[in-house]
Amino acid sequence: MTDLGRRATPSTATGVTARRRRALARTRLDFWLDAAILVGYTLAYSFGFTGPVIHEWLGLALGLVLLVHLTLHWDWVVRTTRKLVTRRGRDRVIWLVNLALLAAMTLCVASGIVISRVAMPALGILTLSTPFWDRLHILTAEITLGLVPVHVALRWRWIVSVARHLITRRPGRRSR
Amino acid sequence: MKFARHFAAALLAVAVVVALGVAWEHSSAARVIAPSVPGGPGPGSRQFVRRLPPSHGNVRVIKGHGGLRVIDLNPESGGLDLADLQDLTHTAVLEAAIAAVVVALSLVRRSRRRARVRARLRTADQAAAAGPQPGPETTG
Repeated sequence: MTDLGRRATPSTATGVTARRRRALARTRLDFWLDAAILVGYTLAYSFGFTGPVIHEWLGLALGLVLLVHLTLHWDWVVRTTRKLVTRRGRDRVIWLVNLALLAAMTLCVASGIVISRVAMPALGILTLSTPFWDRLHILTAEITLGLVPVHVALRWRWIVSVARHLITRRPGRRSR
Repeated sequence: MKFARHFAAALLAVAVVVALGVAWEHSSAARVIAPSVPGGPGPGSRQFVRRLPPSHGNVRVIKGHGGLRVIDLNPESGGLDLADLQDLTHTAVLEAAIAAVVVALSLVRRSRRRARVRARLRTADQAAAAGPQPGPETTG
């Protein structure tokens, strides 16, 4: 960034700095939101630890946060889907894992809403108890448990680089 | 504006998945995950929570504004059960193990690709050092 700033005129340098600051803020948002989803899902899956009340409210919150996560990465979805044929094998694997995860997590949250015994009735919404949705909830939760770490691990380089950046940036922030 | 557009698209994608789930429930393929018990309810048989079996003694059903409300009266279900920390640990360990396998595979794949590229470069260097290759002979 400093090299760019030295070479460019003051007005373009300000533009580049602003753009870079926005990109950094967005990266930070992605990182912390993804971390929150991972921790939230791990907690929600551990039903014995959370109990039904926290499990259901956490599941509902996860559903909303996942929708935001998908919205924030919609550009990637469109870009990768368009170039799916020409992309490398790794990108195709990531795309397929993400598609499977979208289906599994959506059905997990939806079936959780359908069979809810605490959260939805507390909101005044009548819920159902059917063997299909009960089994679907368990099945999709287990599929999600397998896919979430794969989804995370496929982006481990990005995670490590952002985490390193966040850690190394802290001392500079404190000194200001 | 862009966020709203993307949000609507994401919502549509989620709605499609939910619609597929509902279609699955109403198709014969529902028996794949919820086979019906002979004489018992089918996979899609609906039972509203107000008709809870007697075993759910800790659940009280009251009439609310939007319909019926079910209040869970079980005191043990209210918060975190720190005694069952093992459940959380088990989930975290399982996730970490799967992630570690994927990262290891990724590293192996990367090192193999690098070795392949290095070998190709070495071959190209050797070919260049050996001098220009004679072109194909032309006839006629």
